[in-house]
Amino acid sequence: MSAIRVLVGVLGMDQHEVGAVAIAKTLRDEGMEVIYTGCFNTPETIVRTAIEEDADVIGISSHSWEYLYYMPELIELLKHNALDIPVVLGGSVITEEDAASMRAKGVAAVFGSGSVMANVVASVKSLAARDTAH
Amino acid sequence: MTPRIDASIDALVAGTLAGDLRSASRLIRLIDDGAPAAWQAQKRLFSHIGKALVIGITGPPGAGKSTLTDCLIARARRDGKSVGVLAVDPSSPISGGAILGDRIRMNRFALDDAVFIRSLASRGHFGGITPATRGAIRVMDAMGKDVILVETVGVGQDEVDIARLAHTTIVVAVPGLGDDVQAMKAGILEVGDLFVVNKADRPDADETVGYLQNVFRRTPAGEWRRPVLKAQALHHKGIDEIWQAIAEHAVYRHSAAPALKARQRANCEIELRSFLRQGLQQALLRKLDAEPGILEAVADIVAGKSDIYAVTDEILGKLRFGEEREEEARAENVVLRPG
Ligand SMILES: Nc1nc2c(ncn2[C@@H]2O[C@H](COP(=O)(O)OP(=O)(O)OP(=O)(O)O)[C@@H](O)[C@H]2O)c(=O)[nH]1
Ligand SMILES: [Mg+2]
Repeated sequence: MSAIRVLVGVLGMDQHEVGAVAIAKTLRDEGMEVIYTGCFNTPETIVRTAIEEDADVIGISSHSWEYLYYMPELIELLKHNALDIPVVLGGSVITEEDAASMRAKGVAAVFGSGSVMANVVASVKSLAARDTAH
Repeated sequence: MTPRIDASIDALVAGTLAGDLRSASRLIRLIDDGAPAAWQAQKRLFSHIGKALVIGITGPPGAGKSTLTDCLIARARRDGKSVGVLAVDPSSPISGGAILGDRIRMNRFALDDAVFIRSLASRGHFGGITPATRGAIRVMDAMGKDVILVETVGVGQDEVDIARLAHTTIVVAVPGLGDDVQAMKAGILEVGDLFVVNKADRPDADETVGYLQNVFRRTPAGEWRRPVLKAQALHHKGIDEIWQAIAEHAVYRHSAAPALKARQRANCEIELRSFLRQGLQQALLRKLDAEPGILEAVADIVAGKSDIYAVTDEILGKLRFGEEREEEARAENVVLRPG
């Protein structure tokens, strides 16, 4: 038996955990194993945890502007460690413009306010499948 | 969905033995997913294990197992020991998914290179741990972790499985002589080597300690008398005493080695039988999957040309698995034939 493993967490001083908990529950209900790391993560702790947990996908929930700084750092750190783990970003504060710049910097998928959960789920599933053999 | 094995088994084994986190982590994944490659890898690791001290931490939901695990990591690190943690959380019986959140309480070690924390989902298994737990312990052992802490699912009653894997099993209880402690009587009292009444900052801790001590009062001389200790994991209190009791238990285990041989043999037999059962099951299922006549047989049954019982016997016979059934049937006939 096997399952998709997704790391879900919040970066920096952002204390808004509600979105992260909601997405964690949704992914669990879709049959995935969610490694939930809560708030106050840094790019370093996320990368290290993703290795320890053999995560297929990293999901970052953000409800403060801090992601603008942390996300590029996270992407760089993954590259630096030669880790090919796709990162999905979601949060109400993300504007269209910033979403485009995040994608340009290597974030695999971005979901701003008004995003449909089903789309997030589909995105995580297809990104995880990209990384698997049968 | 087992990840692509981008490293060969050779590389994963060599990496694990050299203490490489990524190799060990991927190997645990393959074991957890039951990948055939994992078997070969484990076979090769087997001669390199047996050095780690394995400590089980069990008890009812919310008792403070993860918080205590965090304190024990800190204590082991103070002695300069490297630490592996396996934290098991329940899978949803409906979706099969899980939220694995124990490691949040151990976040202060997220960047400590000597600490490797891995979350496991119970994946439908009862008994507090998972079939992959033993394999994961062995991987951590082979990579050189000195101490391995295993936090079970918080189910409170039947986590007997952990006692088979751990050198020392800690049962975490909370103050109050309520249902939790009463329910513990069932199976958990026998599996615990050491009892911790956590959240001792709350009232009634002494009563709970007294209650548990009373249970173990009549331990015969020469047997391990289970210590009952108070702790406040949240405030890092009582941890040295627990560490000390673990050390004393190790001394006891060595002195009682001959007596514990029977337990060791029983545990080994359980594991060997379960491996053999798995192997047989897989081999037979592979044969069955390769059986070409099934769809045809279904058509015949539905068309009323043959009956499902006869077809079952016929297919099992072809798989050379029918002999026993026929013998059983003959035996039944003998009994059923009116005398
Ligand atoms: N008052 C008090 N609270 C504590 C103590 N130790 C842990 N807690 C709290 O108890 C709650 C549960 O702690 P955990 O360590 O997550 O308990 P657990 O047994 O691992 O829980 P599960 O894994 O969900 O079964 C948390 O809110 C802790 O902060 C303590 O000594 N005193
Ligand atoms: Mg816990």
